Order: sequence, then C-alpha cells, then structure tokens
Amino acid sequence: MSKVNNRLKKRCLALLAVILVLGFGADIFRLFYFQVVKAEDYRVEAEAQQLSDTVISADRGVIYDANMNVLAESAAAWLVYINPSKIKDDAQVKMIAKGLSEILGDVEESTILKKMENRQINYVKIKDKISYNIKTAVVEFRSENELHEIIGINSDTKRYYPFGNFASTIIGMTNSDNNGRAGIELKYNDTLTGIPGRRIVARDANSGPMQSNYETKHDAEQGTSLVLTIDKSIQYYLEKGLSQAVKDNDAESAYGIVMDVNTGAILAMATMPDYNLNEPSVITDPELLAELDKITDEDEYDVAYNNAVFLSWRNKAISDTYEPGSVFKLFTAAAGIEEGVTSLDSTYNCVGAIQVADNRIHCHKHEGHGTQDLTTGLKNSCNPFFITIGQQLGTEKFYKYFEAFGFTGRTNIDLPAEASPVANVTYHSKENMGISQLSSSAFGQTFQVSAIQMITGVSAIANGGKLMEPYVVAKKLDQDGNTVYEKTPQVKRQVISESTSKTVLSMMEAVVADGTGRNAYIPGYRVAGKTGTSEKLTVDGEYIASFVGCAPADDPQIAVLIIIDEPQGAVHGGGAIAAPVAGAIIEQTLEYMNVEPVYSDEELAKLNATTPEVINMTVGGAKSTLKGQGFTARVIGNGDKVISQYPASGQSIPMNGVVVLYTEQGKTESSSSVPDLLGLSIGEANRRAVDAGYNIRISGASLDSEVVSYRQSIEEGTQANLGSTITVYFKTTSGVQDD
Amino acid sequence: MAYNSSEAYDFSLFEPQIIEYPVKKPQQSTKRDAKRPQNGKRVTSKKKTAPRKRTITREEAMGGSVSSKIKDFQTEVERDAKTTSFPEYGKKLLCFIVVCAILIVTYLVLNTKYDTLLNEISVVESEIQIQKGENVRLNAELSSMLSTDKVENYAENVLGMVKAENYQVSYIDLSEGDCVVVSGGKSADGGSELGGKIKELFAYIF
Repeated sequence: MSKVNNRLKKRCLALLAVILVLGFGADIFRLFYFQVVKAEDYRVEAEAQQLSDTVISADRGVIYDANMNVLAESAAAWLVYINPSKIKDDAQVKMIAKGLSEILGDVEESTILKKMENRQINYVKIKDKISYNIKTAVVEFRSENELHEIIGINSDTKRYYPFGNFASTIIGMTNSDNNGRAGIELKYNDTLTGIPGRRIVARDANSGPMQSNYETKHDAEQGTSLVLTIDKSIQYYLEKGLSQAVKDNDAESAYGIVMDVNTGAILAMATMPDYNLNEPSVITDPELLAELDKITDEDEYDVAYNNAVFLSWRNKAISDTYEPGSVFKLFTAAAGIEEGVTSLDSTYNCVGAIQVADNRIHCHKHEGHGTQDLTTGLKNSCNPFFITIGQQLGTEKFYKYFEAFGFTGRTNIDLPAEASPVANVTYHSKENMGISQLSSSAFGQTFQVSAIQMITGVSAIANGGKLMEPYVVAKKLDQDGNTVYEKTPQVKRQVISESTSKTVLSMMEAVVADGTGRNAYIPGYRVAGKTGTSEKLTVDGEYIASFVGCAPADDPQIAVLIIIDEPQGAVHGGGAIAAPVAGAIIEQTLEYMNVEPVYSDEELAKLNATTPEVINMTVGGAKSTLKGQGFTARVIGNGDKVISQYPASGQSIPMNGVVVLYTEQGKTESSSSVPDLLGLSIGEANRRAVDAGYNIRISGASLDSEVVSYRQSIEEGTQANLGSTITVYFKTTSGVQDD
Repeated sequence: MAYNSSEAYDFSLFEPQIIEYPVKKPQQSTKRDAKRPQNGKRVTSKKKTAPRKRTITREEAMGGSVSSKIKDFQTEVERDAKTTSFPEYGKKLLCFIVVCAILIVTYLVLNTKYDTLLNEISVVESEIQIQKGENVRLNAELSSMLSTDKVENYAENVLGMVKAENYQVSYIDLSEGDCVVVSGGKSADGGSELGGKIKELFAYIF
C-alpha cells in the first residue's frame, strides 16, 4: 500500500515538475522572444506610443558675395493644407476654395476645388512657402468660419534670393525638400544643409503632451554659410553686357566669365538668357513664350516647356563646349615661343591658303596677308601662319602644351556639371593627331573646349605661366560668422616661362590696339586680348563669336571671356560683336577696382569737356564763354540774363557739345524728340545730337577713325529734356574679321 | 539532561534546569540610560562596572524577587515614556509633516511656474523665429528694390544722371600717409608749438 502511494506520489511529483517546467519554460521562452528577439521592434512601438517626436528643420546656410551681400538666405515660412475627409457639404467646399484662392492669390479656385474632390483622404497640400502675412490671413479665415478641422497650417522654410535672376546659374536653387538642385546650392548641399533639431515629448494616456519635465529638445543647427568670390558689381557688369549682346545680335545665348588671373577666383560668371531663382520653373522670356504658344498639343507643350526650363538652368560657361577658333592661336604662339620654334622676329608670307596633306586650308583673307612677323600674324589672325607654327612644333610638343594648359581634363572648379573632355570626341588624342588634325587644332578648329578651360588657360598666359585651379567659394562661415575654411589658391603647374608670358601679352596688346580686337580698346587702360570666330560643328551655318582679354596688360589683374552663341546678321565675328562687350566690362571693372587710367596725349585730345558755370551772366557773355571753351549755346526764352543752364556746370559732355541756356522763368524745361543717332561716325552723331539740342557721351572704340554708332541709350523718338546726354556706343566693323 | 524519555514525553522538561542569564542591576544604569530623562530628572551615571554574571535557577528567573523588580522597573520606564515624551515627539512629527507639506506645495507651485515660464519662452522663441523670417523676407524685398540695375535705370532714365568719366576722377596718392595742415600757414605740429608757449608762460611767471 505504502509502495503504491509512494509511486503515485512520485508520479504526481514528476507530472507537477513537467507542468512547471513546461509552463515556466514557455514563459521564459516568450520572455526571451520579447526581450531579446523582438526587443527593438517593441521598443520602437512603445516609443511611438509614448513619445511625440517632432523634427525642427534647420535653416540652410547663407550665401554671400565677396562683399558679404546676401545672395541666398532661408527663413521660416508656412504650408497650407486641407483635410477633405472633414468637409461637411458642397457649400463648405466652395466657400473654402473661394476664400483660400483670394488669400493665396496665385492658386486658382478651380485648382483648390479639384484637390478637394477626393473626400476619403485627410491631407492635401494647397500651397507651401507662404509668408507670415498670408499665413495670418489664412488663420483668420479659418477662425471666422470655424474650419479648424479642415484647414491646417504646417511650418515650412523658404529660400529667398533677393536679386532674382542675379548670378542665377552660379547660385542655383533648392527643391521643395530644401535640397540643392543646381549651382552652388547643389555642389555644396551637404555644407549648406544644417543639422535638424528634435523635440521629444512624453505623451499621456490621451496622447496629449505631458508636462515639460518630460520634454527633450535639441535645437536645430544652421548650415555652414558660404562666401563666394563673385563680386556683385562685376557680376552686374557682365550680366548687363551679355544681356545686351543677346539683344543686339539676336543670339541664341551669350555667356562669359571674369577671372582673377593671379588666384583663379571667379569674379563673375553668367549665362544669358537666365532665370529667376525665386521662380525657377517660370519662363519669362517673351520670345520663348511666344514660340511655345505655337504648340497646340498640350502634352507636347508641357514637354517643350519643361525642356526650356531645364535649358535656362544650364550654366553654359562650364557645361557647354565650343570651338575656340582664333583665340586658340594664343596657345599655339605660347608653345612655339616656349619651345623656340618661333619668336617675335619670325616672319611668314601668307598667300591666302596653305596645303595640308590633301586639303587646302584657306586664310580668312583669301588674297593673303603677305609677309608678316609673329605679332602682325596674331593681329591679323592669320591661319596659315599658325598652322605652320603648329607643324613646326610637331604632334608631341603641341599635345604637351595642349594638355599642360588644361584642355584634356576638367578644371575642377567647385560647380556641378562641368563638361568633361573626351579624347577623339571633343579633342584629338595624341595617338590620333595626324598632320591634318594638328594643323586644324593649331588655329583652333576641329576640337572643343569649355569656357572655363579657356579662361583658365588664358589666365596662365597672363599671370606668368601658372595654371590656376578656378574656384567660386572663398570662405565657409559657421552660424556665428566665424571662418571655418578659407580657400588657398592652387597652382596646378607652371606651363610656360614668365618671359614667354610677357611676350604673348605684348602681342595680345597689339591685337587690341591695332588688330582684330580694336573694339575692346579702352582709353587710359592697356588691354590685351584676342578675338575668335568659329563655325559650329553641330549646326550648319551658325557661328560662335568670342573674345578673351586681360587687363592691365602691364600687370594683369583680370581676364574676361565673352562668347556669343549663334549671332544673327551679316556681322558675326568675335572682333565685331564680342570685343565691344568685353571692352565695356573691362573698363567698368577696372574703374570699380580703382585702377587708375593713364591717358596718352592723343587720348586726352579726344576726351569730353566739362561745362562752365554761366548762370547770372548775360546771354551774350554766356555765349562767348561757352564758345571760348568749344561748346555751342542754345537759348530758350527772350530774357537778357541766364537764369539756368542745362547741363549744369561741371557736367561732362563731348567737345562741341550743346549747353541750353534758359532766360525766362517758367521756361526752365523744354523737351523734344530724341533723334536717330545710329550708323553714324562720332562727329556725325555729335552734330546731329547738338542740332537737336542734345549732348552725346561716347562709349566704345573712340580712338578709331572708322567707328560707327550701333546703340544709343535713349531711343529715337523718345521725349527728353533739351540738353540731356545720350550715351552713344561706337564700334568698328572693318579689320576685325578673323574667321 | 534527560533521565528518562520516550517518543511521547520528554521528561527532561520536568527536571529543574540551570540557565545562565546575564542579570543587569537596575541601579547600575548604562551611559545611554543616564542621558535618558527619567521623571524629569537626569540620572547620572555611577561608577562603571562590568555586568556581573550570576547563576540563577529557572524558578528564580521566572518568579524570583529580582525578576519582579526588573519587571516593575520596565513598566515604570514605559509608563514614563508614554506620559512624558509623546507631546514632544508629536510636535516634532507635526513640524516634519508641515515642512514636508510646505516643500511639496512649494515644489508644485514652482513646477507649475517653471512650466508656465518654459511655455512662455517657447512662445517667445517661436515669435522670434517668425520675426527673423519676416526680417529676412523684408531685407530680401529691400535688396531687390535696391539692386544695381534698378538704381542705375532710375538714375539715368528718371533723374537724368550721367556716369562720371574716367578722366574726371582724380587719384590721390596716400602711400606716404595722411598729414594735417593747420590753416593760416602755421606748422602742422601744433602740439610742440603749444608746449613751447606753455614753457614761455612758466618762464615768464617764475
């Protein structure tokens, strides 16, 4: 009996043990599963339930120009959205659409109605990046109509570009996520992007926030700010010149660069037409819009519109390649002088063509330039002369300098989308450079370079032979304005000697003084340069006109490259259309940089004169005073005494200009119609202006006797006060053709 | 030690046992006892003597005269403690409770105030952010209105201004530093002249 009991007892105990082991084992297993295997998932789930985590967006860094003018800055903005699932009826829909459309301005009522069609969803964005005033108006509208559940407002940030189109292709813009999309904004996106902050608050049982003891806040850190090498004033001169060039020549586009030759810093860079950084997806060019409007198919129109928008964002100065034409002769000359195959004393007899293998290559002057030295050859931009120098150098040496000047690789400028040269596509590789390729390359044909490569190479010629690395970001600043990085100019290599550099510069100066670059001549300044005209390889019958210059020639500070793409009209040479633009930019830039002009006697004789003070004089006395100083008097009224004069004393007007004398009260101003002053010589334009009672200010190549006016600041037929000054632009079209 | 035993009874329990108890004499109070107030009088400690061990029987321990004295003494001490120390402890307890209550209330008030201030700071901070944004927007508007092209257009086309020519600008060489010229043909070195006059004045006086 006791044995049976014992056995039963043991079995019970065993069963109990099994139950306990299984029970606890399962628990331990579940515990292990939850605590170890699924720990991370449940932790995240618990945190999501218990914590409210809000991201505090960080402002992007500011972009400044070289003088700390703000070019791009971020600020708080707001986003308006609608929760259609809470809408009661159609009347409410209409009321919301109408009200918001009126407040937001540029959002159509129909667009809002369309967005509210789907009542199942609870979030539809109506407009982002709205300002404080508009947000306040939306809040008032929401309160007045008790639409708190339907209309919502979220915080947002907006990037402001104060100057709209200014330097748009360099600065670039951001997308709706506040990430860089082009230009500096894209290249330095990581630097400009700040570190977002976080606000973590514990939630109570009702999912409401608990008291602040349970709050953790990490403030957002503003991104690093950038100081560019771009100078606002020089950039303005460049943009103004390019914009006018596109207009004057009905060109497809124009682009240019101004570089500090000693450091490689980009002082200005622009492409025209450009776009408004505040509205990058809007085309404002009326001609382009008119062309697009011709497209009737809606889908086709959208595609064309988008393509046009993307094209306007393109920074052609670094992304496009072009045929350099005669500008490249500078590099052939530099290589030839450096290698000793040619010198300033070398002569060549141009007969108008040269035989290269099976081809006969013509000079742009078919009758030939005759015997000329190297400087004259460059002034005349003689093709056979430079073909000969190229052949004398041979493939090995020519390619050595082609590579050394940086034409076979990227310049590594700190901007996105730099064109990458490809051997045997954009240029001839050494292996494939036969006599024909060598000959054509020697005078700048059959290969392509980018504008940034070209100006970097020319800067090397100007600065004593050092190839610099171009850059646009000079400094990086932290959010307190402390400098955290400063760019040190990088010399890539010494390409040519200083003596060769000086020799080539002197030849370039002769080109501007008396060669194809005469339209870039500036009285008082020594400008060195070279013109270029080339036929586009990709489009038949279209040309690219260019001019590259540096100044002052005796101590170069800046280099300017102007490229006009597909100019229309009979005159399409670089010397005729690009050189005047470059000349104006160089003049304004040197003035701005306080480079003192030094005038020759010849220049001084042609300069304007300053008007004398003749108020309170008798009419006769005033007339004789003015005549004695070379001015013409024009009297308004019948009084005996001069009561006012126009222009006032101390104003600059050309020699033989007109001064209007007012002799009666009430007749202090008199206006007339501005005459047509285009297509005239300086003397003719001045005479016609004076006869009409106006003065002119001469701009452009004023020393050349063959100059002709091509633009006037006040258009013909405009009513203007007598005695006003009209700026008339002159250039020469003879002897500047170089293709 | 058991004389006789079975499983059911332990006869040793009925035998007299000798147990050793350390006996404290009530008169010989310890140092701690001396400090303890007894009937309002401080009991001074007498000569310290080591407690003497005495062997007593169980009967003595249970019902002897010494044990009854100890019992009496203990009862008396307890009675005294109940009647005399309760009000003082009560006051202290009350004080403690009041202090705690004050601390808790103060903590709650301060906490509420802290929360309120934090909220206010948060509101002000967000207001600053808004105003900063407005500042940026207005500055951007101002800059766009004062852009170089707009200023130049207005100056030339509305005000009729003309840019100065290069030759109208006079360049001054400042490489040798600025100097001040006193009008009236006097020396620029006014300081030494003044010093000379003062010296002359002192020479005249003395």
